[in-house]
Amino acid sequence: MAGSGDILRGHTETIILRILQEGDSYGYEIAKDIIDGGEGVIDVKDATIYTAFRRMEEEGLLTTYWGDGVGGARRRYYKITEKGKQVYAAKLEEWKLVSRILTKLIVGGNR
Amino acid sequence: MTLLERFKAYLSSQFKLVPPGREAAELREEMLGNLMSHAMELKAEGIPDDEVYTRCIEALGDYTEAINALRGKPLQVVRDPKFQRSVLLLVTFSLLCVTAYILMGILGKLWAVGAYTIFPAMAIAMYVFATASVLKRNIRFRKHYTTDLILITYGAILLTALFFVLWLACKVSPAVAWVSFVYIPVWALLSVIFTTMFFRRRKVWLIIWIALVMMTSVAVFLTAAAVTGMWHPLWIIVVVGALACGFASVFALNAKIDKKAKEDEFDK
Repeated sequence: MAGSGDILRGHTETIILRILQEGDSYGYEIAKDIIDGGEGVIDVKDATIYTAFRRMEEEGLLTTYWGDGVGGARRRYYKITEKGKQVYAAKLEEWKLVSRILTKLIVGGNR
Repeated sequence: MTLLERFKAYLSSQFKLVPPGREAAELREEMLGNLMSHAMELKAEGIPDDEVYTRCIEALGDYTEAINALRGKPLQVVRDPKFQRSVLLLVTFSLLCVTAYILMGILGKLWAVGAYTIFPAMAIAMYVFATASVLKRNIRFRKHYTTDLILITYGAILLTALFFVLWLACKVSPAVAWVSFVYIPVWALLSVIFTTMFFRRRKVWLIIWIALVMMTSVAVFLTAAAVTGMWHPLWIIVVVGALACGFASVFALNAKIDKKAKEDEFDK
Protein backbone atom coordinates (compact mmCIF):
# COMPACT_ATOMS: atom_id res chain seq x y z
CA MET A 1 0.00 0.00 0.00
CA ALA A 2 1.22 3.54 -0.68
CA GLY A 3 2.84 5.31 2.28
CA SER A 4 0.74 7.86 4.17
CA GLY A 5 2.96 10.62 2.76
CA ASP A 6 2.00 9.61 -0.78
CA ILE A 7 -1.69 9.47 0.10
CA LEU A 8 -1.62 12.93 1.68
CA ARG A 9 0.61 14.61 -0.88
CA GLY A 10 -1.13 17.54 -2.52
CA HIS A 11 -4.11 17.34 -0.18
CA THR A 12 -2.68 18.44 3.17
CA GLU A 13 -3.70 22.07 2.70
CA THR A 14 -7.22 21.17 1.61
CA ILE A 15 -7.65 18.91 4.64
CA ILE A 16 -6.38 21.64 6.97
CA LEU A 17 -8.74 24.17 5.41
CA ARG A 18 -11.66 21.78 5.91
CA ILE A 19 -10.77 21.28 9.57
CA LEU A 20 -10.40 25.04 10.14
CA GLN A 21 -13.68 25.67 8.35
CA GLU A 22 -15.32 23.76 11.21
CA GLY A 23 -13.57 25.84 13.87
CA ASP A 24 -10.26 27.40 14.88
CA SER A 25 -7.62 24.89 15.88
CA TYR A 26 -3.93 24.42 16.60
CA GLY A 27 -1.10 22.29 15.24
CA TYR A 28 -1.30 19.21 17.45
CA GLU A 29 -5.10 19.10 17.39
CA ILE A 30 -5.16 19.22 13.57
CA ALA A 31 -2.52 16.48 13.30
CA LYS A 32 -4.59 14.38 15.69
CA ASP A 33 -7.79 14.97 13.67
CA ILE A 34 -6.04 13.80 10.50
CA ILE A 35 -4.60 10.70 12.20
CA ASP A 36 -7.96 9.83 13.79
CA GLY A 37 -9.79 10.38 10.49
CA GLY A 38 -7.14 8.41 8.60
CA GLU A 39 -8.38 5.11 10.10
CA GLY A 40 -4.87 4.01 11.00
CA VAL A 41 -3.59 4.40 7.45
CA ILE A 42 -2.37 7.96 7.68
CA ASP A 43 0.29 9.25 10.05
CA VAL A 44 1.20 12.93 9.96
CA LYS A 45 3.77 14.81 12.00
CA ASP A 46 3.43 18.28 13.52
CA ALA A 47 6.27 19.48 11.30
CA THR A 48 4.31 18.65 8.14
CA ILE A 49 1.33 20.61 9.40
CA TYR A 50 3.58 23.50 10.40
CA THR A 51 5.13 23.71 6.91
CA ALA A 52 1.65 23.79 5.39
CA PHE A 53 0.57 26.48 7.88
CA ARG A 54 3.43 28.77 6.90
CA ARG A 55 2.66 28.41 3.19
CA MET A 56 -1.04 29.04 3.72
CA GLU A 57 -0.41 32.02 6.00
CA GLU A 58 1.81 33.61 3.34
CA GLU A 59 -0.95 33.08 0.78
CA GLY A 60 -3.48 34.72 3.10
CA LEU A 61 -5.60 31.59 3.56
CA LEU A 62 -5.44 31.71 7.34
CA THR A 63 -4.51 33.95 10.26
CA THR A 64 -3.11 33.08 13.67
CA TYR A 65 -3.48 34.17 17.25
CA TRP A 66 -2.10 33.01 20.59
CA GLY A 67 -4.41 31.40 23.09
CA ASP A 68 -4.25 29.58 26.40
CA GLY A 69 -2.54 26.23 26.42
CA VAL A 70 -1.91 23.55 29.00
CA GLY A 71 0.98 22.69 31.26
CA GLY A 72 2.47 26.19 31.20
CA ALA A 73 2.77 26.65 27.42
CA ARG A 74 0.67 28.78 25.06
CA ARG A 75 -0.98 27.48 21.91
CA ARG A 76 -0.91 29.10 18.50
CA TYR A 77 -4.41 28.90 17.00
CA TYR A 78 -5.18 29.12 13.30
CA LYS A 79 -8.32 30.66 11.76
CA ILE A 80 -9.45 30.35 8.17
CA THR A 81 -9.91 33.61 6.21
CA GLU A 82 -12.52 34.41 3.56
CA LYS A 83 -9.91 33.74 0.90
CA GLY A 84 -9.18 30.41 2.60
CA LYS A 85 -12.88 29.50 2.44
CA GLN A 86 -12.99 30.32 -1.27
CA VAL A 87 -9.85 28.30 -1.95
CA TYR A 88 -11.31 25.38 0.01
CA ALA A 89 -14.55 25.52 -1.99
CA ALA A 90 -12.56 25.48 -5.26
CA LYS A 91 -10.35 22.61 -4.09
CA LEU A 92 -13.38 20.66 -2.96
CA GLU A 93 -14.97 20.91 -6.44
CA GLU A 94 -11.66 19.95 -8.00
CA TRP A 95 -11.40 16.93 -5.69
CA LYS A 96 -14.95 15.80 -6.50
CA LEU A 97 -14.15 15.91 -10.22
CA VAL A 98 -10.82 14.12 -9.90
CA SER A 99 -12.30 11.56 -7.53
CA ARG A 100 -15.14 10.80 -9.95
CA ILE A 101 -12.77 10.43 -12.90
CA LEU A 102 -10.24 8.29 -11.03
CA THR A 103 -12.97 6.02 -9.67
CA LYS A 104 -14.22 5.55 -13.25
CA LEU A 105 -10.72 4.81 -14.53
CA ILE A 106 -9.60 2.53 -11.71
CA VAL A 107 -12.81 0.71 -10.89
CA GLY A 108 -14.02 0.65 -14.54
CA GLY A 109 -17.38 -0.90 -15.43
CA ASN A 110 -18.33 1.61 -18.13
CA ARG A 111 -18.18 -0.79 -21.06
CA MET B 1 12.98 17.58 35.54
CA THR B 2 9.35 18.22 34.67
CA LEU B 3 8.10 17.49 31.18
CA LEU B 4 7.93 21.23 30.47
CA GLU B 5 11.60 21.64 31.41
CA ARG B 6 12.61 18.60 29.35
CA PHE B 7 10.78 19.90 26.30
CA LYS B 8 12.35 23.34 26.75
CA ALA B 9 15.81 21.74 26.95
CA TYR B 10 15.07 19.73 23.81
CA LEU B 11 13.94 22.83 21.94
CA SER B 12 17.04 24.73 23.12
CA SER B 13 19.21 22.06 21.53
CA GLN B 14 17.22 22.25 18.28
CA PHE B 15 17.50 26.04 18.14
CA LYS B 16 21.15 26.21 19.21
CA LEU B 17 22.36 27.66 15.93
CA VAL B 18 19.40 29.92 15.26
CA PRO B 19 19.98 33.62 15.97
CA PRO B 20 17.40 35.14 18.35
CA GLY B 21 14.44 36.77 16.65
CA ARG B 22 10.68 37.05 16.80
CA GLU B 23 9.99 34.31 14.26
CA ALA B 24 12.33 31.82 15.97
CA ALA B 25 10.82 32.61 19.38
CA GLU B 26 7.30 32.10 18.02
CA LEU B 27 8.17 28.79 16.38
CA ARG B 28 9.73 27.55 19.62
CA GLU B 29 6.68 28.57 21.61
CA GLU B 30 4.35 26.93 19.09
CA MET B 31 6.34 23.69 19.19
CA LEU B 32 6.32 23.79 23.01
CA GLY B 33 2.56 24.37 23.03
CA ASN B 34 2.00 21.36 20.74
CA LEU B 35 4.33 19.18 22.81
CA MET B 36 2.59 20.06 26.09
CA SER B 37 -0.90 19.56 24.60
CA HIS B 38 0.07 16.08 23.43
CA ALA B 39 1.86 15.35 26.72
CA MET B 40 -1.14 16.30 28.88
CA GLU B 41 -3.38 13.94 26.87
CA LEU B 42 -0.95 11.06 27.27
CA LYS B 43 -0.47 11.76 30.98
CA ALA B 44 -4.25 11.70 31.46
CA GLU B 45 -4.12 8.11 30.14
CA GLY B 46 -1.67 7.23 32.92
CA ILE B 47 1.40 6.89 30.71
CA PRO B 48 4.70 7.48 32.56
CA ASP B 49 6.64 10.69 31.90
CA ASP B 50 9.58 9.08 30.08
CA GLU B 51 7.31 7.38 27.57
CA VAL B 52 5.23 10.56 27.22
CA TYR B 53 8.40 12.50 26.42
CA THR B 54 9.57 9.98 23.79
CA ARG B 55 6.19 9.75 22.08
CA CYS B 56 5.72 13.52 21.97
CA ILE B 57 9.16 14.13 20.47
CA GLU B 58 8.53 11.43 17.85
CA ALA B 59 5.15 12.94 16.95
CA LEU B 60 6.78 16.35 16.50
CA GLY B 61 8.55 15.17 13.36
CA ASP B 62 11.39 16.84 11.51
CA TYR B 63 11.43 20.60 11.86
CA THR B 64 14.91 20.89 10.29
CA GLU B 65 13.65 22.67 7.20
CA ALA B 66 11.67 25.22 9.22
CA ILE B 67 14.55 25.80 11.66
CA ASN B 68 17.15 26.09 8.89
CA ALA B 69 14.99 28.71 7.21
CA LEU B 70 15.36 30.83 10.37
CA ARG B 71 19.16 30.74 10.32
CA GLY B 72 19.18 33.70 7.99
CA LYS B 73 21.23 32.95 4.96
CA PRO B 74 23.33 35.98 3.93
CA LEU B 75 21.39 36.52 0.68
CA GLN B 76 18.12 36.57 2.60
CA VAL B 77 19.51 39.16 5.04
CA VAL B 78 20.57 41.38 2.13
CA ARG B 79 17.10 41.10 0.57
CA ASP B 80 15.38 42.07 3.83
CA PRO B 81 13.79 45.57 3.43
CA LYS B 82 14.83 46.55 6.99
CA PHE B 83 18.46 45.81 6.18
CA GLN B 84 18.21 47.74 2.90
CA ARG B 85 16.65 50.74 4.70
CA SER B 86 19.47 50.68 7.28
CA VAL B 87 22.12 50.67 4.55
CA LEU B 88 20.33 53.54 2.76
CA LEU B 89 20.20 55.55 6.00
CA LEU B 90 23.91 54.91 6.62
CA VAL B 91 24.89 55.99 3.11
CA THR B 92 22.68 59.12 3.28
CA PHE B 93 24.15 60.14 6.63
CA SER B 94 27.72 59.60 5.35
CA LEU B 95 27.02 61.67 2.23
CA LEU B 96 25.59 64.49 4.37
CA CYS B 97 28.71 64.51 6.56
CA VAL B 98 31.02 64.54 3.55
CA THR B 99 28.95 67.36 2.00
CA ALA B 100 29.15 69.34 5.25
CA TYR B 101 32.93 68.82 5.32
CA ILE B 102 33.35 69.99 1.74
CA LEU B 103 31.17 73.07 2.36
CA MET B 104 33.17 73.90 5.53
CA GLY B 105 36.35 73.65 3.50
CA ILE B 106 35.23 75.58 0.46
CA LEU B 107 33.28 78.32 2.23
CA GLY B 108 35.25 78.66 5.47
CA LYS B 109 38.62 77.21 4.45
CA LEU B 110 38.25 75.02 7.57
CA TRP B 111 39.53 71.79 6.01
CA ALA B 112 41.58 70.70 9.04
CA VAL B 113 38.93 71.67 11.64
CA GLY B 114 36.28 69.99 9.53
CA ALA B 115 38.28 66.75 9.34
CA TYR B 116 38.88 66.68 13.12
CA THR B 117 35.27 67.39 14.05
CA ILE B 118 32.91 66.05 11.40
CA PHE B 119 34.41 62.62 10.77
CA PRO B 120 34.90 61.64 14.47
CA ALA B 121 31.37 62.95 15.18
CA MET B 122 30.07 60.88 12.25
CA ALA B 123 31.81 57.73 13.55
CA ILE B 124 30.51 58.27 17.11
CA ALA B 125 26.95 58.92 15.87
CA MET B 126 27.00 55.72 13.77
CA TYR B 127 28.37 53.69 16.69
CA VAL B 128 25.75 55.06 19.10
CA PHE B 129 22.94 54.47 16.59
CA ALA B 130 24.08 50.89 15.87
CA THR B 131 24.40 50.09 19.59
CA ALA B 132 20.99 51.59 20.39
CA SER B 133 19.46 49.67 17.49
CA VAL B 134 20.93 46.34 18.64
CA LEU B 135 19.86 47.04 22.23
CA LYS B 136 16.31 47.92 21.20
CA ARG B 137 15.98 44.71 19.19
CA ASN B 138 17.49 42.39 21.78
CA ILE B 139 17.20 43.89 25.28
CA ARG B 140 13.90 42.07 25.98
CA PHE B 141 15.63 38.69 25.70
CA ARG B 142 16.44 37.17 29.08
CA LYS B 143 19.96 36.31 27.99
CA HIS B 144 20.84 40.00 28.01
CA TYR B 145 20.95 40.14 31.75
CA THR B 146 21.78 36.52 32.49
CA THR B 147 24.89 36.09 30.30
CA ASP B 148 28.12 37.45 31.77
CA LEU B 149 29.80 38.23 28.41
CA ILE B 150 26.88 40.40 27.29
CA LEU B 151 26.78 42.23 30.64
CA ILE B 152 30.56 42.79 30.43
CA THR B 153 30.20 44.29 26.93
CA TYR B 154 27.50 46.70 28.07
CA GLY B 155 29.65 47.66 31.06
CA ALA B 156 32.67 48.34 28.86
CA ILE B 157 30.56 50.57 26.58
CA LEU B 158 29.06 52.50 29.52
CA LEU B 159 32.40 53.01 31.30
CA THR B 160 34.09 54.16 28.07
CA ALA B 161 31.26 56.64 27.57
CA LEU B 162 31.71 57.71 31.21
CA PHE B 163 35.38 58.52 30.54
CA PHE B 164 34.42 60.87 27.68
CA VAL B 165 31.61 62.45 29.70
CA LEU B 166 33.93 63.09 32.66
CA TRP B 167 36.69 64.47 30.43
CA LEU B 168 34.72 66.51 27.88
CA ALA B 169 31.48 67.48 29.66
CA CYS B 170 32.55 67.59 33.32
CA LYS B 171 36.04 68.96 32.51
CA VAL B 172 37.72 66.35 34.72
CA SER B 173 41.39 65.86 33.97
CA PRO B 174 42.08 62.75 31.82
CA ALA B 175 44.64 61.71 34.45
CA VAL B 176 41.69 61.21 36.83
CA ALA B 177 38.96 60.31 34.34
CA TRP B 178 40.93 57.26 33.08
CA VAL B 179 40.03 55.53 36.40
CA SER B 180 36.67 54.72 34.78
CA PHE B 181 38.56 52.20 32.59
CA VAL B 182 39.85 50.50 35.75
CA TYR B 183 36.26 49.69 36.64
CA ILE B 184 35.81 47.64 33.46
CA PRO B 185 37.46 44.52 35.03
CA VAL B 186 35.58 45.27 38.27
CA TRP B 187 32.32 45.38 36.31
CA ALA B 188 33.39 42.18 34.53
CA LEU B 189 33.96 40.44 37.85
CA LEU B 190 30.65 41.69 39.27
CA SER B 191 28.87 40.45 36.12
CA VAL B 192 30.40 37.00 36.50
CA ILE B 193 29.46 36.96 40.21
CA PHE B 194 25.90 38.12 39.47
CA THR B 195 25.29 35.55 36.75
CA THR B 196 26.99 32.79 38.76
CA MET B 197 24.98 33.52 41.90
CA PHE B 198 21.59 33.80 40.25
CA PHE B 199 21.66 31.95 36.94
CA ARG B 200 24.20 29.15 37.13
CA ARG B 201 23.82 25.87 38.93
CA ARG B 202 27.32 25.43 40.32
CA LYS B 203 28.47 28.11 42.74
CA VAL B 204 31.90 28.44 44.31
CA TRP B 205 31.25 31.00 47.05
CA LEU B 206 34.72 31.25 48.54
CA ILE B 207 36.39 32.06 45.22
CA ILE B 208 33.65 34.56 44.39
CA TRP B 209 34.07 36.43 47.66
CA ILE B 210 37.88 36.44 47.48
CA ALA B 211 37.78 37.82 43.94
CA LEU B 212 35.17 40.42 44.96
CA VAL B 213 37.19 41.65 47.95
CA MET B 214 40.46 41.82 45.96
CA MET B 215 38.98 43.70 43.02
CA THR B 216 37.15 46.09 45.32
CA SER B 217 40.28 46.88 47.29
CA VAL B 218 42.29 47.43 44.09
CA ALA B 219 39.56 49.68 42.66
CA VAL B 220 39.28 51.69 45.90
CA PHE B 221 43.09 52.08 46.00
CA LEU B 222 43.32 53.25 42.37
CA THR B 223 40.43 55.68 42.70
CA ALA B 224 41.61 57.17 45.98
CA ALA B 225 45.20 57.41 44.74
CA ALA B 226 44.23 59.00 41.43
CA VAL B 227 42.05 61.60 43.18
CA THR B 228 44.40 62.43 46.06
CA GLY B 229 47.71 61.65 44.36
CA MET B 230 48.75 59.66 47.48
CA TRP B 231 49.85 56.41 45.81
CA HIS B 232 51.91 55.83 48.94
CA PRO B 233 50.61 54.98 51.55
CA LEU B 234 47.22 54.18 49.98
CA TRP B 235 48.65 50.91 48.54
CA ILE B 236 48.02 49.53 52.07
CA ILE B 237 44.32 49.17 51.03
CA VAL B 238 45.28 46.36 48.66
CA VAL B 239 47.34 44.65 51.39
CA VAL B 240 44.39 44.88 53.82
CA GLY B 241 42.12 43.34 51.14
CA ALA B 242 44.58 40.46 50.58
CA LEU B 243 44.89 39.82 54.35
CA ALA B 244 41.09 39.83 54.70
CA CYS B 245 40.89 37.25 51.89
CA GLY B 246 43.58 35.17 53.60
CA PHE B 247 41.73 35.11 56.95
CA ALA B 248 38.37 34.41 55.23
CA SER B 249 39.95 31.45 53.37
CA VAL B 250 41.44 30.03 56.59
CA PHE B 251 38.09 30.26 58.43
CA ALA B 252 36.11 28.84 55.51
CA LEU B 253 38.49 25.94 54.94
CA ASN B 254 38.56 25.22 58.67
CA ALA B 255 34.78 25.09 58.71
CA LYS B 256 34.84 22.72 55.71
CA ILE B 257 37.35 20.41 57.44
CA ASP B 258 35.24 20.38 60.63
CA LYS B 259 32.10 19.58 58.64
CA LYS B 260 33.87 16.73 56.83
CA ALA B 261 35.21 15.38 60.13
CA LYS B 262 31.69 15.39 61.64
CA GLU B 263 30.27 13.58 58.56
CA ASP B 264 33.00 10.92 58.80
CA GLU B 265 32.25 10.55 62.55
CA PHE B 266 28.54 10.13 61.79
CA ASP B 267 29.22 7.53 59.10
CA LYS B 268 31.21 5.42 61.56
